[in-house]
Amino acid sequence: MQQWFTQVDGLWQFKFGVEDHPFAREAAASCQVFLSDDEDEHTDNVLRSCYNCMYRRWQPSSFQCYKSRAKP
Amino acid sequence: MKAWLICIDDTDDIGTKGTGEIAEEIAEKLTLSQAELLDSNCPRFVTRHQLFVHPDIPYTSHNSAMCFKVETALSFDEIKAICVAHLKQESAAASDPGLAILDLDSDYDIKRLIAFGQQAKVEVKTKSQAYVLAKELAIDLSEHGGTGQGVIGALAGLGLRLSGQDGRVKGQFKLVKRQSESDEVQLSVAQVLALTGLQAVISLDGEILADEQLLNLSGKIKAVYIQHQFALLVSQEDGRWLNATKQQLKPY
Repeated sequence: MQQWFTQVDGLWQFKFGVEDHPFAREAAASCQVFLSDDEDEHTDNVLRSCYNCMYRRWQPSSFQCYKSRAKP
Repeated sequence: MKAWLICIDDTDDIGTKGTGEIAEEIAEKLTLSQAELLDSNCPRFVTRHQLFVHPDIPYTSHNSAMCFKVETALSFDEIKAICVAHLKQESAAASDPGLAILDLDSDYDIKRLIAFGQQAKVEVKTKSQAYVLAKELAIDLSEHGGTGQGVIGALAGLGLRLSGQDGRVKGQFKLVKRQSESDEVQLSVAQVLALTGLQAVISLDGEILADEQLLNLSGKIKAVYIQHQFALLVSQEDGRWLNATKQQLKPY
């Protein structure tokens, strides 16, 4: 997880912004809880990508994962 | 029949039915019969409008509003009753739904409405600002649960749709039978328009392609709302016209 995310306020924030598709796909490939969002919300051509996941919440320059809670 | 523009926002939560699907269902309910749908000359596409992503805005995951146009003989009261009943039935418990209904035949200040929509893409707007503008423009704006924060996006979505330069069309088009989504199919612009009900094929640079132009289509076939038209967005690579990728569609 720490390869791709950093802990911010108890949530995991993606380190690579909103346009780095290879890392978003790599992170999703190793994720146990990936769940595809509504297809209309997908922003990556490859389905299994954090950018297409229902548990990502967009931020101005990245997203946070709402499924994987960071350890305190 | 009268024409109405309807927009909803903030009806979903993680794992629940999406706002776009709820919008499609409402549009379906408002179209009383197939005959009425055929009489109508407006494509009933739902458009998705991206709003400002900011820590101060309590969106679920992406902050977008869903808008559609209907032409119907139903009265305003009947339209609103159908919208509200469906929102109450289908919205997520933790959501904050907003509903905006605009009579397109009314004398409203379109410039102010568009400006509000465009501002809501780049700055934080308040419920109070939305209600004040809606009242001044005689737009019916209402909230249906939670904080009602969705009224901001609902009003903004109307403005963005009316701008004619914003939004992705909900869903995807199945043009011909393909063994797999990655298979490429070649069709002319005229064929694509006939098969989809879209109004144009437009390049990333804004060029409208001629009817006889050949397109090479693969993957998800999705449309946008630009130049006041429902359009297939395409890009040119090595002399071939290809349908836009998800990454290319993202800014719309």
